[in-house]
Amino acid sequence: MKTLLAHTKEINEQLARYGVKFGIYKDGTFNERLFPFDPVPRQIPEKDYEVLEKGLIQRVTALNKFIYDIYHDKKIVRDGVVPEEFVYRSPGYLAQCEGITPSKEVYSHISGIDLVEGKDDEWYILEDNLRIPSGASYPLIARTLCRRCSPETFKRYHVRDNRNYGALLKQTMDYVNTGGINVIFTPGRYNAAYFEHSYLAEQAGAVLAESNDLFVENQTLYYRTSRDPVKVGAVYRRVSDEYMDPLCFEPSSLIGIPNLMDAYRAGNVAVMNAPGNGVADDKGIYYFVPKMISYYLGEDAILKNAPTYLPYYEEDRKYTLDNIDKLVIKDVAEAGGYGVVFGENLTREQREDLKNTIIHAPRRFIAQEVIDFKDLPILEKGETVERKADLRAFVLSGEDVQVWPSGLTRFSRNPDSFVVNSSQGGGFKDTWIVCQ
Amino acid sequence: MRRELSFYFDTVLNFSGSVTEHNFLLRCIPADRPEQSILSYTLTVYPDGAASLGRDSFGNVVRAGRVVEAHDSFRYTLQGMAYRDDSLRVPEEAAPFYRYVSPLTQVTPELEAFYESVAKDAAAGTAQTQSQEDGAQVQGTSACFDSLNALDKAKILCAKVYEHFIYAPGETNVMTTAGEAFVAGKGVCQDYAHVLITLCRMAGMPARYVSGLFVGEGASHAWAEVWMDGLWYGIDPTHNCLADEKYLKLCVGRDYSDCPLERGVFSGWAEQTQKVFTKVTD
Repeated sequence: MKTLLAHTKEINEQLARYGVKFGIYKDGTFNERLFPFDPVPRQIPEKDYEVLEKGLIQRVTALNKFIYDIYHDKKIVRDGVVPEEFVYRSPGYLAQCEGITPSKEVYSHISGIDLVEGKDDEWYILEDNLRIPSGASYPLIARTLCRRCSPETFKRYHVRDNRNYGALLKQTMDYVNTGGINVIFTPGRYNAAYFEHSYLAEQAGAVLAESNDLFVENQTLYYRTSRDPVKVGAVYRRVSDEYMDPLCFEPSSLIGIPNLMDAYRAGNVAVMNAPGNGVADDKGIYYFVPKMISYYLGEDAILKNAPTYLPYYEEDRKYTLDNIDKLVIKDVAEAGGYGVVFGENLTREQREDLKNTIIHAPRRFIAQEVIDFKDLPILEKGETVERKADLRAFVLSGEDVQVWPSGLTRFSRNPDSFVVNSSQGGGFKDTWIVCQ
Repeated sequence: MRRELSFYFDTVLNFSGSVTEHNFLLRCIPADRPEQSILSYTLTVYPDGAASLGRDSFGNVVRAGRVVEAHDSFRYTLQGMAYRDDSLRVPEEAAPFYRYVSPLTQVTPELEAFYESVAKDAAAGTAQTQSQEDGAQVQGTSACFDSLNALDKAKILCAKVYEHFIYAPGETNVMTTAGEAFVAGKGVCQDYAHVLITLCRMAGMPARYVSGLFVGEGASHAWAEVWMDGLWYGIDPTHNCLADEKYLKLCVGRDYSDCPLERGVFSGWAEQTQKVFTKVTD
């Protein structure tokens, strides 16, 4: 391990050279910055990982069934398991997707499930990211560089190889492909995850395309080439639903493909992840995932949710208002670490304001117990310090639902912060599944 | 009353410069339904290319196309015959999303206050009638409004929207929300419809937006539909009346943004002007 750690600077330099960057919008301007890599890996023993794997497969399987149900028969709503308004008021629910059946009924092809490990050694699900979760490329490229810098480390430790992500992605695309090439559709150079789009295209043998490279004719998506256009059978779009097709969603979008929804609706192209699947990763819907698992699969959830309260229910509202100083309050409409408030950090006045907002709009919020999660060691200026970290596990749904035996471990650089989202300026680690 | 309608709907878009790579989606082909059988229709689109027909999630017929070559105008003309008879309506479920707010029908404090006052007035009105009839004093509360059926509520709301608005073309645009139009107190049929839909949904009933034509000459029209006991009822707040067999439905959605009759994107810097002519006779 020492040899690996000795290469920290080198690996970070290499990452910078490869363009491993993270772009963020702050105060209206776009800033790109390096996503600092910490070489001390998070190690997960294989036997623990097996439990995680089962739990994640179970969770994503249920989420997929939920999305299908919502856009078709709505049984779970009719049966009163999920209150109707949590579905139809969710910003991720898109009426424009009603009744559409995506290729092979897959809605969440690439899911990024965020977890933390509590000090009680228990893993907790923090949130499900089903729309266009990013981050797989970071540990993927970091692993490659680490192996290059310190091959002996990987002889000594038996670490599950994670370099198959490209192959898994290709399998996932091929499974839903309706006939034609695989394309990764990026909003372009100024997107926060552009590096990842290009890297994944290379790894999965897919074509990287921007909106100008693609067009729809006769309900068919085509990729322009210098010769005849080529039919696209699967498009892994890294453009959000709202901007994907100006003729169906936001009309002012310049990064979309006109009539892509028309081609998708006709079943002539697989769009991954499927539009409208955000209805299942809404923070309000999160509360219901364990119920979904028992509803659709007849099983108990293997992985726990963080203890969550819905102020929508009177009992939960009362608990939330009474215990606001020890809870974390999340605005269900916000993402990327925004709209997250720790009750204990509020002044008395702010706390009262928040309480009033919750009373006025209970549907907008969820409240969670603050999980005391494990610190992980990171290297800072040559010394080891402890920081909060989470794990984004990547689950790919093709013919089978598979978990990528790795994941993105993000840590907070600020010793007092529990928020590890990369939009908030943290760093990352590789995640090792270690065979013993 | 049953009617056979002959309809003609012509739209010309003129571009100030030439445009290329023009992708469009038309929702002007009326769906064939029990109460509105489309006996015949033709749609001509010029210039045109790669035409295809489909159905969107709201049940509308969508007609897509793509014109690559440079052009400085775009025209589509629909004509045909329809047989309208509302007694032939078949009960159907209302999709749940018709009960919830949509992009252009968000509830604002002004609309909330308006709704409250309409409900109260209506209750007072009911109370007055009752007291005249049986000589007893009845306290006017909005509980009386709440006990009305969906269509009666919609009619009351429709009358109030009609009173509130001044019909004024050019004051609003296609992106204007119900809340904005309400505060301005001016607008066109689209704005009337959005406000009525918002109010109906506040009253808990499914409501939707309709784009279509009605007997006479002029522009295309928009109104609302409310759902009661399995049937959709057309209600036109611009004219404060029910949308009967004189109305021909072209497309529906939660609000205008779901179902514009035409939407297109193209390459080229050009200003766009639009001329519409419609004629419906029975």
